[in-house]
Amino acid sequence: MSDAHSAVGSYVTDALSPIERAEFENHLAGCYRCRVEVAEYSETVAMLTPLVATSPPVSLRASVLAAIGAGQSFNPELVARSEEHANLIIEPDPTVVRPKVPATVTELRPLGPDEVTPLDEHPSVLPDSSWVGVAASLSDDLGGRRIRRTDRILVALVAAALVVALIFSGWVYVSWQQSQMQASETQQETELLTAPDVKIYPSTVNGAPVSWVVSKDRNQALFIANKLPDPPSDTAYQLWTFHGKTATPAGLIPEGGTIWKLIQIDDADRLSITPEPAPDGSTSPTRPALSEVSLP
Amino acid sequence: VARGNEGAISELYDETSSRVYGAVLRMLHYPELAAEVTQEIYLEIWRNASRYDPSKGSVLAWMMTFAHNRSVDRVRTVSMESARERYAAVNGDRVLDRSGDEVGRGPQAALARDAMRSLTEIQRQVVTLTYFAGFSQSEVAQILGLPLATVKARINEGLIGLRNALGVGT
Repeated sequence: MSDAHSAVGSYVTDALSPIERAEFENHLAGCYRCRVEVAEYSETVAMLTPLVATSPPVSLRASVLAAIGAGQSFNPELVARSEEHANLIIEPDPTVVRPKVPATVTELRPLGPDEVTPLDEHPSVLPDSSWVGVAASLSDDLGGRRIRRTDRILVALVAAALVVALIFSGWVYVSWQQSQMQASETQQETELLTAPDVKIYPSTVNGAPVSWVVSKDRNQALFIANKLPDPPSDTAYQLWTFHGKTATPAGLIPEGGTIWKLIQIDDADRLSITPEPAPDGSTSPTRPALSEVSLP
Repeated sequence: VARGNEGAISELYDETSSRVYGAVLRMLHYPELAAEVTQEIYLEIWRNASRYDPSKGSVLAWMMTFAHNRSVDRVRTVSMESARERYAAVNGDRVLDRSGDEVGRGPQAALARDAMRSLTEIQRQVVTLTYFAGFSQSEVAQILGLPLATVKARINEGLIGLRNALGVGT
């Protein structure tokens, strides 16, 4: 994989700096393979979003609808562009295959798990080009002052199509049974990393970079390390939570590889890591801390 | 499709707003800021609706790409400091109402959770830190103590694993 290719995942997850992003977009323009991957990965990450779905404040709905309905935010430049777009659509593109869509929702049925198809294979609903054509020619007839209105008609048509496509794509999941409600460890890690009060404390253990990721609201912490040097012989790394001078064992860390240890902190004011006798560790720390973090 | 303008907008909002708002909130942390940015995102989606090209992907992916990109822009504009400083700067002075939280519920969440579970730990970490928490690849490299090239490779592997687990594409 060339270096340019290798940024594709970071591009889709918006993890590039502006300069890196510009470089990748430059590459993307000439790389079909990357464009396919960007499209597929974009579908993929969008399908992860139920993991973080949160109802917005009720007032936001009215606010968004009012702002859109008022049309105050239509930018003349964008209006002009969508006008161009409309004219392009009038020329039917023979390469675009428009799949048939059931006429009514009642023709749909829940799909079995084996029938689940990726979102991008679902029949998409395109605004009928004749409608768009009508809207565009309306604007020719009515002149420049009506462009804004025409744009809104176009947008309404497209939006209606978007809604149908969305409802349709959601349908495949209907037969999926709701699985376990209990938060798995993965879910807990995700929750912790994205907790509103999360704090990350970078540190080192015997020269290796480590991070303490702490959420006091969730009363949890993650100890993250990669390739920790082996502890002194006959010892193992052990994590601790402190309440004042009282230490409570918070788990032993296996040797080698990537460490990703979730601990309950129970309102601790300090966390630390020490090497303790293997394999069972100690009931209170017997050596100086290799890394510790005070929690305010 | 023979629906009124208003109906279409409100339905689009109802279908997608918890995902959009949830993703924005995860990155921006402040409910008020998240609401403001969510509104901006919907307006922008609305203005650009005529550019949506169904041959290039689903509506949801198109919308979430918009939403994610705008949220990350906001995160990085608000603060250019390191991850640590970013979080140290915003501490304790806000209350998050979790009562409306839909996290982890429903069949689509179960599907997503299973897909995340199919990854190795390190793949899951890098995807979580970048996509959900909004960290840059350089920040992730710093947090995890990994070389940047390794982080990029793990993000790619993670997305490939998720793509396959979720059955996206061919």
